[in-house]
Amino acid sequence: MTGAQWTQLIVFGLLFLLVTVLGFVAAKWQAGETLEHLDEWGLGGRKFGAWVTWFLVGGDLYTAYTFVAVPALIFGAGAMGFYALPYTVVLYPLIFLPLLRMWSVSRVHGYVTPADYVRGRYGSPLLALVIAITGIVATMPYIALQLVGLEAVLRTIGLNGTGVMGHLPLFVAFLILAVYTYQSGLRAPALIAFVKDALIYVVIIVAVIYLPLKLGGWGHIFDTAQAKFDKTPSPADGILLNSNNQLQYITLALGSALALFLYPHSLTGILASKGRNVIKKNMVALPAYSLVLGLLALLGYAAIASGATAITNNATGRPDGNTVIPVLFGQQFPAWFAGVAFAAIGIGALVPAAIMSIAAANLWTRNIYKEYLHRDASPKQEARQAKLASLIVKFGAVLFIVLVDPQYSIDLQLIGGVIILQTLPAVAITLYTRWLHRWALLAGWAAGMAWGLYLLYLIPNPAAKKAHFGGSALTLKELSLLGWHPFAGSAIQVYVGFVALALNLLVAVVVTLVLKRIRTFNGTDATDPTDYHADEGDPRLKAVAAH
Amino acid sequence: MTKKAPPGQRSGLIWSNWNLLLLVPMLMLITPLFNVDEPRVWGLPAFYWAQFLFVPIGVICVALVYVKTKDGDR
Repeated sequence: MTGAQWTQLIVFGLLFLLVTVLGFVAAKWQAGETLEHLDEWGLGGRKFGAWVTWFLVGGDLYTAYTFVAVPALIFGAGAMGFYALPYTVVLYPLIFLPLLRMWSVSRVHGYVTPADYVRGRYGSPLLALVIAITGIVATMPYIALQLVGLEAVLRTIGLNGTGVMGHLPLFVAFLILAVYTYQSGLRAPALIAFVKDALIYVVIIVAVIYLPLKLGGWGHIFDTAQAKFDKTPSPADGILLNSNNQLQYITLALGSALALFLYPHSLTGILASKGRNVIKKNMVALPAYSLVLGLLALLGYAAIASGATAITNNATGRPDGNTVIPVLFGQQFPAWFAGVAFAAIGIGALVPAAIMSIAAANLWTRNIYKEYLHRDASPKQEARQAKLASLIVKFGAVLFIVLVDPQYSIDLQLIGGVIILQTLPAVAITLYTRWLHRWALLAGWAAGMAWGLYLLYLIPNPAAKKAHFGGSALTLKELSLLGWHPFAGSAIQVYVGFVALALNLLVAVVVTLVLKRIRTFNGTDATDPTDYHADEGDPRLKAVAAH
Repeated sequence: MTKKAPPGQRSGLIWSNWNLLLLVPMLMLITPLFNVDEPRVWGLPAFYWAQFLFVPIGVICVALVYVKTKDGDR
């Protein structure tokens, strides 16, 4: 390690120590009567105001992985990587209304997870189980990816060991995270998010002003990037979209926006807020993070202009593309400020990892453990079970990174986005209507899952020398319906999740029509139409942490 | 615990025409509108600054819906 790296490591270590203390102190922060209830441990007492929610949800949605992977995508492919901006801009107008209904109905009935809601809406533990498992499977690789983000930083600082020992710093960081999440629950990431976001904003503002000045201005940066893309053999890259990838850009942005609040961890942050007004204010204020993400994405071009190259991961022996932004910071910033930037990304991994593990633990506890294994579990037993599950989930993610090639978690995350989108009819559309039949929702889910996975399997990535799961962009000429190619000869690309969702909806509608015709029982609805408008102060709200 | 609504409480869908404003930011998904290099602003190609412009547009639309539907939403 060089002297500069020592400085970076010390600054990183000090800030990491600060959030560790915060993580443990958080248990006492606005504490309720007990932490032995999921409302308290898993949802922070359901009383977060606008500011806490803004930091918590912002820290949850805009993760360390996003902060390193989006610019890395721009660095590699150009304009396509900028989809993250439309994704996070159209997101809020899209979900503004459904999210309020979800909060209200969950607050009246004490739902903790999206699967809880589906169970109440359709009286179907099976549909709830399917939603819960989809949520857990989609979230697990997402947690692993936070580790990829954290590791990109650690390896840039110089903690780039070989073999299993090379993962040791990561293991220590996650062990600390696991212990304070176990103890403090959702309050830990909520409190740490303040530090994380403050650091991120400082770093980004400095970076987008300082780096272009140093590298000859944005005009020069973009021209250099275009010159680099012109030299590559790939026709798909460039600082603008081309005729083949525009549809992919649009459907990926829209599909990702629709999928985001289907992830259980996103909903956890929303359900932890105290009222509808808190959510509304946040839908207005959260795009501040989108602005930051967009600016950060542009740093991918700055990295091209600066001549930064990816560091080789000594554990896998391959260059890790996600290190380009940390490398850019390390080369261009004074060592102490690079340390601050690395801490921002590193802590940025801890907040979402904590919330995701809590969300997955809630799903396990409420929709699998309590439903199938221990029906009369007390709230105290539920909380205990969830705490243990959060530990297991985190260690599962660490083992995944240590024992399996990190590339697989990136593939799985890609798959995760496609499969979580398949819960949209059951979780989002049913907020408005119960017209879709519960068995039709199951059938649509199964069809969307199967076809989505099959299409992902078909996509190769010649650059990475992979025959399958090479990306989420399906070339339309490959699209086949039982051997029929409706778009033969077309090189236009589209997001797989979107295609699978279309089939999902089609199947759900057709099966519903059939089941309505033969008058199949559609389950009992435990919710009332007025539940979807309940707000704080309403006498019908379920008491927090009640037995 | 009864879940029946008190009399006079509104149920079902509550619609306001202001909600239509939420569709305006979706224009951002029509990429041919801005998939060009020139004119540049501070060196940023139009493709980039035009999309940054949609951030405040989205905020204003959502904020308007929030403010204008405050009373009817219950």
